[in-house]
Amino acid sequence: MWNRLAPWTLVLLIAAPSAAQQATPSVLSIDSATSVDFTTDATNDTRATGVFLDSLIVGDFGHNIEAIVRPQVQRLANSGEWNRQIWVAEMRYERAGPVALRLEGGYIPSPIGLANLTLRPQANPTIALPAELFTSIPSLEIRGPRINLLSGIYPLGAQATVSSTHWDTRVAVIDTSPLRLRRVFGSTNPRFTNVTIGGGVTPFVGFRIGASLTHGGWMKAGESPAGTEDRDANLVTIEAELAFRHTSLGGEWVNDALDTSFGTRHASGWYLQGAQALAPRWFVAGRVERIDTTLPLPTAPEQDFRSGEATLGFRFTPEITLRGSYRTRQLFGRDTWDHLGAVSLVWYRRWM
Amino acid sequence: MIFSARNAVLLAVAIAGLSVMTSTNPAAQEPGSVRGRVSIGIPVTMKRATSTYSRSVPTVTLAPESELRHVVVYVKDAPKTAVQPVRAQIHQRNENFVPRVVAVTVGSTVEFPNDDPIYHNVFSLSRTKTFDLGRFPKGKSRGERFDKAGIVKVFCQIHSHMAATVMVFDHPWFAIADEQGEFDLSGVPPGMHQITAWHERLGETTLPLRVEPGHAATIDFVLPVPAQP
Repeated sequence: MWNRLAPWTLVLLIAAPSAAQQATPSVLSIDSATSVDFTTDATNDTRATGVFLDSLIVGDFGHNIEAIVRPQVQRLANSGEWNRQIWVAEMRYERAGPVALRLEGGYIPSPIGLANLTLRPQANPTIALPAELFTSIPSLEIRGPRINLLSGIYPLGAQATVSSTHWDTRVAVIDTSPLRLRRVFGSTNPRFTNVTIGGGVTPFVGFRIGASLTHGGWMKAGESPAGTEDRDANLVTIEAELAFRHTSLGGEWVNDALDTSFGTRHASGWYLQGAQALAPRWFVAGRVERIDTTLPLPTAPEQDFRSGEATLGFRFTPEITLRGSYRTRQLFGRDTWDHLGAVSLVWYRRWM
Repeated sequence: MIFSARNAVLLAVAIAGLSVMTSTNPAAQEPGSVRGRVSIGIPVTMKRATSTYSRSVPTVTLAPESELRHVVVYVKDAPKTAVQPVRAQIHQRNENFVPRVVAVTVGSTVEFPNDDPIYHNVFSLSRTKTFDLGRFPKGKSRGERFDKAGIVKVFCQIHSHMAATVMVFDHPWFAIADEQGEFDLSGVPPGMHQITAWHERLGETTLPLRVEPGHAATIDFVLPVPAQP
């Protein structure tokens, strides 16, 4: 009996009061994504299994106010450890219109760059994520903290966005350096005030080019033997997206300028990715990327990271996708290339 | 002469008699019709649009829709019949498929014009029809022909809350209810039939109905009808 009534009871509970003959947007929106990735490193003869589960829950409070939460659980492929995070927990006001406005505060999606918007497995055309987000680069300060070119962060902060059909602009204040990893449940999160301004233009539908500038601290005094004072960094990103017919392309260029005991040191990188639908169920995708940085020595010897990935995907249903990929990469300080194969099963469901 | 004048007269009388016999009961082959009204007894929700991972703020809000326009009534046990193809449209408007349900005959083409100032995509992985029309901007339209009867669920890759249904029939006895929920199936063969009212989230409800020659049979639906124990 309950089995029959439960779905209708749920519908009644979540439905806004209205005439029964009209559909109204649901009060809650929930979607979930899960991926299971098997990776084989043929060069080093290692195997790893990664699992990723998350849900994006949006609740409507009326008056254009929403609460958004994105809990996430991840089994790290290399260590096997389970990592629990809340990547978004924010309140948002959104006013639609020719000149639309969004105000948000809390743990907000990163206001910087393009890669941070493709972290969910169903939004990422390849299996590996852009290396700039999770691949540590050699420290630019003597025995200083490791950083990423651009971390996959969900900072505590506030952001205002104003956009129209052909342009968008935003300003954000966040409590985390975009170069440093931050974990919501971590106890040693380094906190720095950073300010981001960004914007983009959309000259025609399907093409957007944007940029952002972020300024703020990246290292506290004492985090390095040479660091006797707080250090700042400037981060510039330029991103572009182009989509047409069965093709989508995207790319990003990032440049970090860090105050160090050697003066200003730079790290930069870029990636270019694309996806092409071959048939309703089949698609191919790929990404090439590079990160250039220097070692923390007076002569600043250069090091780089390079990677390329090619992916073939098959969509069983609109919710289930199987992907296989070949990836090759040259890590910092290495002359040789690693060769990796990976298989990934992605399940994505929009519940309501 | 084998075929004599007498035989010719007898044959003429027989033909005339046969024609009289058939003409005395013209309603025996006359089709009937099925009329009625559909109503929905519970609130129906649609998926919310979300823009958590977008640098732009949406310029539109979803408008409430009449759910009665999304109910398809049809003769479930109808025999396969030759049908005329038609052309139908499902607009992409305000990040929604409008209408969200169309019903067409086999061989028909459905056009998908994009009225929004953003890209949309139209695809389906249904067994009845698998296709991907790719992305196309405002003012553009792409069409797909449906050559097999069945249900085709249509989605937009870019906006996960967008969904539509194309119901393809190999007979002409189907109709979409109007704003008042009223429907009219004409030319239905006489006899006992299973009449189904279908809604994408409320499921299908099927009731038996006898259609008398030359008469309109009436049937009303209140959706959803709980399953019988």
